[in-house]
Amino acid sequence: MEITALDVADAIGSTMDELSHMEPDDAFADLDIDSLSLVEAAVILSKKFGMRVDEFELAEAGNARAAATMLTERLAPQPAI
Amino acid sequence: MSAPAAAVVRGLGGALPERVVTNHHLSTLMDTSDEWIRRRTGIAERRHSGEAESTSVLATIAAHRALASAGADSAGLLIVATSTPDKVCPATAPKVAANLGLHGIAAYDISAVCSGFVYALATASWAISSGSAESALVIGADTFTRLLDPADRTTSVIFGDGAGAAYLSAGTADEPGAILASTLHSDGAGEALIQVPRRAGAFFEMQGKEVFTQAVSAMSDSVQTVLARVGWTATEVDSLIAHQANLRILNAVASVTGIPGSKAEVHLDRVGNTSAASIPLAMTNAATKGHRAPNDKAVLTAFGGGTTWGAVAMTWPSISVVDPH
Repeated sequence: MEITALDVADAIGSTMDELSHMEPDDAFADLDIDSLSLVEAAVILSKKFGMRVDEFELAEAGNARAAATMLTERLAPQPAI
Repeated sequence: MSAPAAAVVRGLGGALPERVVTNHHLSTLMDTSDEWIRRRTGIAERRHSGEAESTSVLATIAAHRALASAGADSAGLLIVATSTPDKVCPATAPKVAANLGLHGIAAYDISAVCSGFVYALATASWAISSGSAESALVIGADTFTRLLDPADRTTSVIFGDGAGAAYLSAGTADEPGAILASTLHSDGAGEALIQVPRRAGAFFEMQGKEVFTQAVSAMSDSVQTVLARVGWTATEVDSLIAHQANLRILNAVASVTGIPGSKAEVHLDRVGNTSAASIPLAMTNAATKGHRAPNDKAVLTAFGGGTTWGAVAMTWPSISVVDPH
C-alpha cells in the first residue's frame, strides 16, 4: 500500500481554498499554511490510511512528496525477526 | 406486540443574548484580527450574556419558543444540557420547568459540555421510546463567556452564549422529525483536554490541537456508526449538523465521512461556539432559513469535554420557528 504525494497534497489542499492548487514539491514554508491546516490534513490522512499521522511529522517533512515517502515507509510491513 | 414509539421532534426554538461582540471589537482588546479569527475559526461575531441573561433565562426563552413552534403547552420531561448552570447546586432544569409553569415534572441537567445536546436528545428519545415519557423538552444552554480568561485569545474569540431547545413527543418512525438512531461515548482519560481546573479563580482551558484531532476522529466515527444503523450512505445525508466548534472541524468531518461539504450546516459565523446550545441553535437557524424540507435525512454529531461524543440520525421535522437573532 502506498501513500502518494498527491494523497498528501490533496489532504492539505482540501483544508483551505487558497491551498487547493498546491503541488507535491511546494515547500510548506513558502505557502501560507497554518498549523491547523496540518492538523486537519493529518486527521484526514490518518482516517484514510488507518494509521496515526501527526501534524508535526507533516511539518518536519516540509513538502507533500517528502511526507508521502515518510508515511509510505511507515506503512510497509516490518521484516520478520 | 407493537413497535416501541419513536421520539419525534415537533418544535424548535432558540434564544440569544442581546449583546453582539464582533471580531473587530475583540481585536481592540487583545492581539488578534478579524482576518485571523475568520480564517482560523470561521467566526465573525458572537453574543455575550448580560447579568439578567443567565443560563436559566436563555433556556426558558428557547424552551418557550420550542413549545410554541410545536403548538404544545406542556411536556412531561425537561432536560437542560449545560456546563454553566445558574448554580452548582441545585440543577437549572427544575427552575426552567417552573418558569414554564411545568411544576412537578421530571427535570434534570445533563453535563457533557459540547456533547450535551446530543446526550440529552438521546436520553429523551430513550424515555419516549420506552413509554416512560409522553413528551419532552430538550434544551442546550450555556453561558461560557463568563468562564473565559480575557487574556487567552484562543478561547476568548471562540465561545459565545446562547440556548436552543427541541420539543419531542411520541410518534412513529416514519414521521418527519423522528429520532432513528443514536450513539453516545466517553473517554475519561481525556478529562484535562477541555476543563475548568479545580483551583480557585481558574478559567476554562482547552488543548486546541489535540481537541481538534480527537474531535474530527470521534465525530466521524459516531456519524458512521449511526449511518450504518439506519442504512444511509454518506452521500444520501441531506444535512450534517455538527457541534459548531470551528469551521475547519466541520469541513474535516465532512471530508472524512464522505458527506458533501455543502450539506454541513454552518451557524458559528454568527454565534461562535455556544457549547451545548450549538446544535439546537444551528437547527433553529436552518429552520428559519428554510434550508431543509420535512423528511430530509439529518445527522447530528458532537464532541466535548469529558471527553464525550456521539451522534443522532433523524429526519428533518415539519415545523415553523421564530428567528432567535
